[in-house]
Amino acid sequence: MNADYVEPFLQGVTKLLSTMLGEGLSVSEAPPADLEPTLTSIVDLSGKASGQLALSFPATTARAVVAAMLGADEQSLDQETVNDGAAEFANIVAGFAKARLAETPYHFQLSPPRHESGPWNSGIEEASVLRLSSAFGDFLLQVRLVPSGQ
Amino acid sequence: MKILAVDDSMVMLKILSSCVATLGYEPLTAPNGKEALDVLERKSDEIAAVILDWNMPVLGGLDTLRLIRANDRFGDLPVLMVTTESERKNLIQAMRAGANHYLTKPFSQQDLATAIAECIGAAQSKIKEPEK
Repeated sequence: MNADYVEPFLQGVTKLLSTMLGEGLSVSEAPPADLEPTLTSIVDLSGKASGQLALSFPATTARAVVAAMLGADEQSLDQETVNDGAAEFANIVAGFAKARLAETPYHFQLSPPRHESGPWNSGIEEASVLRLSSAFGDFLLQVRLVPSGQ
Repeated sequence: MKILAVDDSMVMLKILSSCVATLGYEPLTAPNGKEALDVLERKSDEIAAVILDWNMPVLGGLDTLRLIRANDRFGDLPVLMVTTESERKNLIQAMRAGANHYLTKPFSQQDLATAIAECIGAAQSKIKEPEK
């Protein structure tokens, strides 16, 4: 794991969960490969450094997180709302990391968040991957960031 | 009175609308700056403040803020920027463009409610200040 740039993204997830949802987060020791995500939120990163942030959620975790963001009942959410909420989650995490990586070789600009449904087989090549545990379930943080010229 | 919330995330619009309603205002929403300006053209007399995201398709928050400030009819409306852009340079840009308040995501419901109330309160105090 490249702590130089991964830590601010991890801090972003932690900050979002604690500030908006009143929950904590831990890095899970279970292997990432055991998780079966069905929804991945992706933010393309470009500028002084380029790469991608991806947050991959199992369906139940994504629904629970978005319901908590809205203070709504999980069953009341349609899939479009879950997709949009998961994308906004990634957008907020990327924005948090961007500010903390300012004045470093890893500074980047944000692209609009997007999502991919179904098993996310493509992944990010050479990404740092962390399995995170929350009250809403486990999910994956994947990030790759390369300063320009490398 | 109404508060216009502008964000390209449907979920964020719901979060903002819910907070606006708890403060006793009726929420209006728009998914980008262009549609927000359309709403302001039609309903600015009913609107107490605008909450603007920064990164949006079609017309972003900073350009929208500049267009609001350049408008004779609704140029004085209080504007709160609520955004993932939390670098100091962004804050300075927004303040120079005329934002009354700046809140970065992630935020708590209390942070948001306080920011909206302060944004409207500060604008009202400014109007009530006696001329020197």
